[in-house]
Amino acid sequence: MSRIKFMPSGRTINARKGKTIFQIAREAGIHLNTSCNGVGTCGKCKIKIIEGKVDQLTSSYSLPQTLQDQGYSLACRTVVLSDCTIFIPQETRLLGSELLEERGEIHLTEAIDRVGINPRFRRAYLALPYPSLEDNLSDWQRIEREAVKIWPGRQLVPTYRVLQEIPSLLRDSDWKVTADFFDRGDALLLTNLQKGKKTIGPFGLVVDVGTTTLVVELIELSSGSVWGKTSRYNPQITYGEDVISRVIYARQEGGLSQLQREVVKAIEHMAKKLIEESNLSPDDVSGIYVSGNTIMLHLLAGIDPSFIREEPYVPAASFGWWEDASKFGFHLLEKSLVYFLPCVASVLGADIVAGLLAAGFDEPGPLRLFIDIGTNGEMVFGNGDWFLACSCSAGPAFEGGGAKHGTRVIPGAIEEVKIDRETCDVEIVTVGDMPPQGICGSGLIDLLAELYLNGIIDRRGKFDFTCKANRLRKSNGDYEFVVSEGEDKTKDITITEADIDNLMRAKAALFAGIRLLIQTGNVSIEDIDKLYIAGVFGRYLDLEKAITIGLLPDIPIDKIEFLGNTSLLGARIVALSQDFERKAKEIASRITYLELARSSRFMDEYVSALFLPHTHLDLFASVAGKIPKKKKGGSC
Amino acid sequence: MIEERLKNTYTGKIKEITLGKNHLKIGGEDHLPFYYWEGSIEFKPLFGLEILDIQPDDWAEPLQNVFSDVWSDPVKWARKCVEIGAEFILIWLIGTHPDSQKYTSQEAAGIVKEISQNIDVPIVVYGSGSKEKDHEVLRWVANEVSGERLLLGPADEETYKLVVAPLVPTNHNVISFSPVDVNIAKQVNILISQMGMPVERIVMDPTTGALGYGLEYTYSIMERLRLAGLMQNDEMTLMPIICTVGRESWKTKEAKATAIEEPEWGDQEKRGIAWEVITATTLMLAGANLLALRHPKSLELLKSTREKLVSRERKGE
Repeated sequence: MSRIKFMPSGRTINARKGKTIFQIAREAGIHLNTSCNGVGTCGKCKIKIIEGKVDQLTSSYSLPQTLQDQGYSLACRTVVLSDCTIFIPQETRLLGSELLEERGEIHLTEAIDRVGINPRFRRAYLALPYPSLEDNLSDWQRIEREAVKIWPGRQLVPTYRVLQEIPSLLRDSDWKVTADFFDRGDALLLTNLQKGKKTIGPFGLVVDVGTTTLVVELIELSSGSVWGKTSRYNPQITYGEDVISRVIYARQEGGLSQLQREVVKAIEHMAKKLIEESNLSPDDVSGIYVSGNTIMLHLLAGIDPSFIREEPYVPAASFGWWEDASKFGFHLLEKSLVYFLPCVASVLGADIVAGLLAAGFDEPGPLRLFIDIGTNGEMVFGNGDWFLACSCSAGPAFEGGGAKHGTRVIPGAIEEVKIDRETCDVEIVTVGDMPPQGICGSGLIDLLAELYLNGIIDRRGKFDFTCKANRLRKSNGDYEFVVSEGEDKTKDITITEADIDNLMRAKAALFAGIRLLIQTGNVSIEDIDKLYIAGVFGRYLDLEKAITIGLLPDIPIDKIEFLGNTSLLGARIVALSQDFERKAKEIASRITYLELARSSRFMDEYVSALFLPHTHLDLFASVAGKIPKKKKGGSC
Repeated sequence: MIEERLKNTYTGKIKEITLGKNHLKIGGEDHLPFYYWEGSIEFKPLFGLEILDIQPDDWAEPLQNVFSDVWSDPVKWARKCVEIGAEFILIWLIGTHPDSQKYTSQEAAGIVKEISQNIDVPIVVYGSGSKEKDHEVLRWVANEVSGERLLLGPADEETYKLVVAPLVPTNHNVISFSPVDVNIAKQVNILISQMGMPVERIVMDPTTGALGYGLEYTYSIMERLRLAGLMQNDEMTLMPIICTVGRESWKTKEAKATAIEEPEWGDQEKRGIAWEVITATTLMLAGANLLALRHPKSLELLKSTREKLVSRERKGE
């Protein structure tokens, strides 16, 4: 193996000797400029060897001698023979193609280090003295006597279900048992008893109930280690893709219990897989920790969510409590206890509270902004002592919805776009390097920024027909720009003026929300110390482009962090630490929620954000320098 | 006791726009309108009269009484307005609307040209309000009339490109129109200036609402534009403002209803004039630079109000 270091990013990758630099880069997710796809004919993937031994394959394209003399060669024709340091020049790089690093796990580790692992569930191995005529305590008192030695001064209580199991279980196991206790606060509750000595555990199941995706993690509560993770579509999707249609379905006869059954069944199915893979038994799972938006939690808990839809948009429950899993229809995990993370408001759910924990908002500190971009853009702004939050409806634009050729992040989704200023050629990068199928959210943002920076759209997002871009055309009464040509015109992938309108509205809604929060906090954008982005969408986001179109505020990019699935991470922290369970509730109670529907200022901010990057250019000083000068007679 | 007035500090200055044959100027304020203790006024707001290219069929009786003798001929009508004391003429080319088609673009341009040859005050030209047709009409007008600086419009968010492009190489000025929205007003100004139109040739029409019909909205939008421009030096809000007061106030029920229809409302003429004068006075105080009226009596009253305000300002009392 050779270590290949790519400059200027400094990323280092282990690669097999004999591979081309082009292949190595692609496998590492670094996309190099190419139009021949790495067969040595286009000459676009030129790179510079700074250090290391390489060999050259034959090429039908030859680099100018002057470049060769400076150490340049084509990435697709250069084979590595040793550790190498490679410089990728600007023109070869496809901007921002490296995925953002997920910082959420790092925050979580730091948080746990700060407070220590202190889960609700404790496991104890008890080797009980045999009962005799002299030592004739009841079975339960016998357990209690031994357990109290481990936790002196604590009161112990059995559950009725365990009491029913005790007599035969103790005798069958030769009085050697593993006991699981739940720290209820006032007492330790014996929730489960197993034969023999278990050296690992107890375990918890961390569940993120997303509207679209379910993610389940199996963790060992005593150590905090993750034993397995799996995800699948939320089966409720067949009853409606968005939350509203599911709420409507829940209103129907039997609808609510149907939706509850579906999601519980799916969670248990995923849990079973994880438990089997780890050679555990379902009894090893003591707690289930559930995070998700307010409506998803209602549906899982079997509580009617329908009044959330009606003014004044009040949910039935704000959660933050424990309950027996069996009450929600869990069979495999019927002995577990379920914890629902607390919610703030109908549109500000446990996923956001969990996100704030994962971002470290429990600690007082500088001003931070947390954004979860999805169908709804939820955002929270605060310093750890106070929080302001709002939720703006962005629509499905950033998930690839509402666009003629929009798509979710699937193989073949166009995720990056670069437009050549002179020739108007479009270069695209697709997920998995598959043939293009459509444009996903990050691709749409890239495209909007590129169209704007190259003067193909004006600041309203309307096509400028005075530019001579040959990819502009009219189709079915709407103007569109051809992003990727198909076999024939009908198979072209395009972006229409209506698509751009949708994107403009979505980005305006989000930015208006950000502005309103910041203004309500009586600070300015420069005062933001950190901006955290949550949600899967964030990973593919090119931050510079997101700022260019005015989606994110114009702050230095090193102030922005991508956290990953913070709903899941936050639920995991809660599982590992009672302190964080308490902190979750504290955070939830300290959030001031701004209802934008009632705000006239929101509308004003919204209209001023319906412009690229914004009506007030002084808010986007870094973009001002990039704005194209009107040029005449250019090809593009 | 010595009283000291608090004074604002201003960083912006309203753009100076040159109009007409005699290069009359508007704008140039470096303080809030009529804050005479904070600065002096150089170019006072102008009051003009509105005319149409066709004979009106729905104008209120008090207006008929004054203009019906001339309004079959826009040139005569314009001359009469100037004789009465109009400081500019605003002509609505509604005869070019695709629904009416009384005039072609070329004919309409001919009318404006003839008016221009007969009067010396600046001319403001509004199209018929047809998004499809206006840009063509305005282009003809701009090309036919040379030797004076017309003010032509409207150019809005949708039509700005087609309207502004032919005006850029001329000397004429353009009206940037927005629907009672401070952000859109600024956006249209940005778009127009990005076409290469100098900011010194743009006048804003933020939509005029008459008394009882949105006057307070127009007032607060104008106030916000002036605050953004003067206090924060927001270049794209520093254009002079035109208000089409006559058209808006004379189409209200209160101005149109006769004394027979609404006996309790009193004399129609006094009522209509009052409606127009109150609307115009309010908007003058909000910072309007060009105010187009319809009734000669309104013109007289407003000019005298202005003189009182301006003389106070000039004296720096």
